[in-house]
Amino acid sequence: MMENRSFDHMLGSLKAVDSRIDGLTGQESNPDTTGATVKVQPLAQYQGQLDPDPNHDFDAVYQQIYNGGAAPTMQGFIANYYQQRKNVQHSQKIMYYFPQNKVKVLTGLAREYAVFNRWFSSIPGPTLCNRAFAHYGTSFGQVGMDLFYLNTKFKSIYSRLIDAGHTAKLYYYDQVSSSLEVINVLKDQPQIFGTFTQFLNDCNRGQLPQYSFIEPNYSDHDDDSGGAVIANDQHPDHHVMEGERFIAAVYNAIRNNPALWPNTALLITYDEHGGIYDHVPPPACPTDGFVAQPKDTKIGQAFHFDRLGVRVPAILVSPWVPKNTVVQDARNFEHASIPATVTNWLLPGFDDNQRSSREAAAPTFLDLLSLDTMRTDALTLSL
Amino acid sequence: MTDIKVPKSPKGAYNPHRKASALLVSHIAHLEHALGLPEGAAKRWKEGAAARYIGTLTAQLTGQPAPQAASKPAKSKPKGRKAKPKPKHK
Repeated sequence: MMENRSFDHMLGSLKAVDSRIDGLTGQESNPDTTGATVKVQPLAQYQGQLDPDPNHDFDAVYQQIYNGGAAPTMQGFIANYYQQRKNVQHSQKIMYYFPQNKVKVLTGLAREYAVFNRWFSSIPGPTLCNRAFAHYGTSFGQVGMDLFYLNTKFKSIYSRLIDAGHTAKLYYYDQVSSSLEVINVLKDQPQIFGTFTQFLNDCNRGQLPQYSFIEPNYSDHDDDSGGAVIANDQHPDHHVMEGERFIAAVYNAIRNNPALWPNTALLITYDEHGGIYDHVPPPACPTDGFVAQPKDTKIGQAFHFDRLGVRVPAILVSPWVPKNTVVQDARNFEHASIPATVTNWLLPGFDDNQRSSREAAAPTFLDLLSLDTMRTDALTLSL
Repeated sequence: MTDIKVPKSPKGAYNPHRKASALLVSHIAHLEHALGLPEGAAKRWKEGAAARYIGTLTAQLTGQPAPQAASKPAKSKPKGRKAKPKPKHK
């Protein structure tokens, strides 16, 4: 799971080569603070453009989606970004997207395997509450970063699997990058964690657990030998190409083991949009039984978890996926689809009272592995 | 079969002296909370220093040896920009 990029920002260019993909026509726009209409442009850069980091707290995303109105029009992105630097020209950069040839790994995988038209972040808010949905199927009523996961009502997907005799592991990049989201699990069950180096070794030895979650490197930092380790999470203002290399490394580790490749599906997605423009309004969704109060939403009203967050890239990689698959049905996938899919696969008949109602209702995606015969072709990514 | 060559990031991509993101500051707060430490998240962190402190806290939480470069939880603005070490592309 990568960081903070919207679907249109990373994959919107693909509509030009495949009209089934719900990307950009080039006519999508937002008003700037002078009232001028600003269209999307393929001018996104790898680094140095989205500085300061676009606001993606709940109230900021609410403005991006609603722009002060009652309907989700997606017209408030420039107005919101303007508040950070008070520079009209700079605020327009929130509309920029990558041309296909600047993010060849992500667009290449999207074209080669299955790309989801409708995969949304789980909450119109920041990182930690969204990542919680990938691990627990809920954020336990949180819409911000104050998420401490203590005395949680529901078990994480990792604990569920291990308690049932299955194997699961969460690979964080290295000790200095660490694991972002499940601190209580890191404290109580350190045995289910590994580093990215261990992930590569486990792939090489064919010893991946039944379910793995892989975290990128969240920071520029030095290693024990004094070398520089570049962040690869693609969080602005980290270099996007380094994230391309990280995704390629994960893909290659699976692809290059002939015993692993036929039995592994890789889902690549992003936690949330990071304040960057997307043209698809997030849909309404089933509630998850929690309510965030106005003091936390900062929009003067409570949030009932009844609308998803902004759309993000999601790609399913497997030799059992037909080439050039575009998932264009009406299902609204979100991060709760991850524990839902894994639970339905490995723990059939799981008691829905033991997981959130949001997760229980989330669409699953193993039906996309639909080929009767495994593909023998595969994209090659050379690092 | 399509073959995509993935270029390396430029050396200038590495900048541990940028202001630490809200994400890293929250990460520190969570780790300090889990360890029962007084929270120092309100400090002004640089990214590289915040990361080293995260490494130290993670080592304490998991009972592993601390990373060598994480000997102290430095948080202050560096007086001078150090020469950048050669990036590693893992």
